[in-house]
Amino acid sequence: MIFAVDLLLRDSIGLVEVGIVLLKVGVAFVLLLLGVMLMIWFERKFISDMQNRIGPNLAGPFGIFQTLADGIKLFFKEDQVPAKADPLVFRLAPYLALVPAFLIFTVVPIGGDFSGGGDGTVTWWGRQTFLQVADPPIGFLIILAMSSMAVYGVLLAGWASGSKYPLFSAIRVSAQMVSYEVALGLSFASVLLMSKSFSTHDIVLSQGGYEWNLWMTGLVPFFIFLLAVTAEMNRPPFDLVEAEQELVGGFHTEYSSLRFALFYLAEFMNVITMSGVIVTLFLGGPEGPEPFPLPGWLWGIFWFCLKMVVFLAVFVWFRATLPRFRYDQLMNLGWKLLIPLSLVWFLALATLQVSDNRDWNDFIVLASIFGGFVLVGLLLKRALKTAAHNPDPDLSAPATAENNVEENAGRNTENNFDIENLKEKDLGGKN
Amino acid sequence: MGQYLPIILLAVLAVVFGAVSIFVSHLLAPKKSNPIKESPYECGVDPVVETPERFPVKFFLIAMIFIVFDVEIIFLYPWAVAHGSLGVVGLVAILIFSFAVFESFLYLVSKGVFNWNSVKIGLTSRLQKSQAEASSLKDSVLLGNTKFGMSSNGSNNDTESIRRVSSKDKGIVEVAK
Amino acid sequence: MSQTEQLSYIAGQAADARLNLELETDGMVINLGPQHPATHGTLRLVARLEGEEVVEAEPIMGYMHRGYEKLAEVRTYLQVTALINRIDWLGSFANEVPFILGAEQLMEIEVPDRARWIRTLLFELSRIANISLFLGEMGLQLGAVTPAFFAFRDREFVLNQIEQVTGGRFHPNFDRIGGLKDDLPAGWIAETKSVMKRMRTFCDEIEDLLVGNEVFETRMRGIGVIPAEVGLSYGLSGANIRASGVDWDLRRDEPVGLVYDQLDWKVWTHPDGDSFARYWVRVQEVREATKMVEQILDGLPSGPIMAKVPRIIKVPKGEAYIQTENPLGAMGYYIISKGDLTPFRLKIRSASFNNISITPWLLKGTLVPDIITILGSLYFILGDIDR
Repeated sequence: MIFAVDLLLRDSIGLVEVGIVLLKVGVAFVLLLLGVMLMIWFERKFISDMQNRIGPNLAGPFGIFQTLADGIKLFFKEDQVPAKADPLVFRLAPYLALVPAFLIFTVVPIGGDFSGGGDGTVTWWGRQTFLQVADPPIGFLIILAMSSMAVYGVLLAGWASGSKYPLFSAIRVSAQMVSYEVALGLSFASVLLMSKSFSTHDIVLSQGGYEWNLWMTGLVPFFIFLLAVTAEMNRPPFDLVEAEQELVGGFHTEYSSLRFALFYLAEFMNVITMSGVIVTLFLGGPEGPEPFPLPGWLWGIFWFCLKMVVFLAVFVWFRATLPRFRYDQLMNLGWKLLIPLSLVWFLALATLQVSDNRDWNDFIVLASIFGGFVLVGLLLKRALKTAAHNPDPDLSAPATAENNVEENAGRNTENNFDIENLKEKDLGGKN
Repeated sequence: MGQYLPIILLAVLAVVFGAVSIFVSHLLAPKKSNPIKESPYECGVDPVVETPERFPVKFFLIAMIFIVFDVEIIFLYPWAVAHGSLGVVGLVAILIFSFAVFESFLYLVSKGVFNWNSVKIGLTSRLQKSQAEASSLKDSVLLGNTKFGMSSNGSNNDTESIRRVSSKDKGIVEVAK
Repeated sequence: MSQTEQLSYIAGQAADARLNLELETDGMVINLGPQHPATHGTLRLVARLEGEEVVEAEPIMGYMHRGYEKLAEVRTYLQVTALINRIDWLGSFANEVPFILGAEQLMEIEVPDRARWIRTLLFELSRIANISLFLGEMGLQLGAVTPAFFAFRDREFVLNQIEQVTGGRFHPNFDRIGGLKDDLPAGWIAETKSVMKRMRTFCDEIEDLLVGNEVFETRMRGIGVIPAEVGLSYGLSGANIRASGVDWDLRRDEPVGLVYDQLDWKVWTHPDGDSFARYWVRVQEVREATKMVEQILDGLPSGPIMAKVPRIIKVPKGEAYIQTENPLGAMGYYIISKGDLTPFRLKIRSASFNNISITPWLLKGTLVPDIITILGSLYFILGDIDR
């Protein structure tokens, strides 16, 4: 079914097919750049509204060309390669950040005719095609692969700068990104369970009739995915990589001029593409009601953009309201909560799916799932307890740190999320 | 391969876009470099201590654990796609597999691999002890609206109580040591 | 043990040693400052790190030293107040008061009641202006940008009120030996009352935004705990020491020359001594200050605002030390006069200098992000450290 639609897999590839493909690539390219421009403007304008400021208002109507002006300004800035930097890697890193950001978008279906149980094809110049740049059977894995690739851009940029803050930031962020990659992948798996296909187009199709994965997978994978994506993109509250209060500019401290602009571009492009991915995976992609007749694919694009803007706004909202997590809190959240939870949730969903096909007793299935949750929770609790009482001496800090730190025990307690317990102490101050 | 051509095309386009804009910037931008500009950022002072080449092994440990889990996820994907036809056997297999991985995860957690401030946690028992003493101390003396001795109308008793605190508190500091 | 065994043992040991050397990871020494976004000024903090952990940290001061103590020796008393305005630049008026009080003590001048009341009023207004900025800025330190803008917005109202009285938003230079430069302008009192209401709303807002925020709490709770004993031994003062449970406030304990003893207010303490406690105490302090201002506005006595003071001020021979509870903590001036037009020697005891001196002790063993939390919660102002 897929193969019939993909233009480049036909028996005869003519000028029209090549033209359509080139058109799609060109449109995607321009759309992304325009989108980044609007996204940066949107973020600045939206956040300044939340903060009682005016925001950009001079370049063009409502300051909409502010990003363009900033970009043009960066063209005229001196490009500096630090003396201690590794010149080749230093120059390579921006591309490694930029290219994956572009490529994720290729597999996101941004529209299509899904009305009346349609399969999302549109017909242009007598050829059927999808409204996405490419629909490979492993589109899903491309998203994952490219978001992993983005780590390299950041890591190499920080490492090659030959400066302390970028190095520190790069080490931090690579650990952060790989940690959340696991949670991301596991929540992905729940989606796969529902769609039974790696192709992004099929994932959208499988959610037809408003059976969106958002509720079909039971909300939890969606929220885990949202958190993991936020961490993956280094957006607040997980923006440890460029915590300017600690690490000045983060991994791009040493970058200037256009190289810096490319990082910036990649960052915001990731926000856009990842919002698109969330919409595709969990919110039924371009699906939506059609109150009055238009060409079907226009409605698809409209709904897709609307859903995407909601997520863009959510990311900006995060930034406006939340303080940044600390590094160990972030890692704890990722490893000790999100990963076990998403794994167990995945297994529970799998069990439910299998039992659905086989007419098992619902009560027993639910009870055993519940038992599984409790068991995992207890085991994890036990493991955490062991960790707290019995740390592996080899894995604790090196000898130099130990002596000095011991003196200060008692002033820095382990982070915990147990706030309820602590709140009572305040009452002491009030009396 | 045909399906991937558009993706490769866009990748090439992205690289060209980056290269061209950097080249244009290269033509337009001033080039007035000097050693101070080229030195790494060090918050306004001369970089005295070199940037280290090695970093605590803990970060790499995370990367290695990640590989274990990533491989696990890769195994989950095909099963998730094909679970309909694999049936109960597949489910049991994936449960056993997941349990094996989860068990190793538990081992890592209990080993304290994910404890980022493990040094402090190692001192938990001593720490809790000193904290408990400190809090009882705060309740008894310092919170009882004791005026500090520097107050002009403060009585001698107050100063004495502060001194008592000092000696007692010193004990706690020693305990912590 | 045969010789071969011995040799192989030695070789093994040597190999081990070499391996250890190779596997050893380097610590990292980083500078936070003098040009760093987090030190809000030119404080330099040299920290040796092991991974994310601080092995040792030391603040290096003096990048903004302006030598006010020496400069004051060649300036008349009136000119000195212009200088010392710039010590704690966010609460400038509060800097003038202890100095003027010291000079008045030496000259044995009886200040009119109304002047004392207005002094207290402006003192508290500058406290509100100063601390309210901290309340927003603390969020900024932790990565939440929005509260900082709210703080700047609402502080502006307080600064407007100060400006209407003194003519200067930031550096009023309004206090004179024997009283004040001017009386309050007409219509000012009603306006100030509404501003005070606004500031209380601001406190509520900040509590909603930050104090109730879980991420904020986890970042602040248990971070940088200062036991009362340690805090006292380092000479901490102000909200920093009150957050460690020490009930010490110079406004209540040494109300020299100001009218705090005639007002109904309360000193807030917190038992925890951590960053959160310091933040919490400061929120309460702003609330308390707004209430004080309202009481002063209601009970303002009438009368002159200036005592009879000679045209050329010569402070008689003698020494005086006056300290007051400034927004940042206890601030004192030790004035030695030889009967000249200028002070013979002026020693400034500023709060931030002592407050920051605890950092080497406090930062050991913390994580890098906690450096920022702790520095932020200690709330220093560079002008107050370096003078």
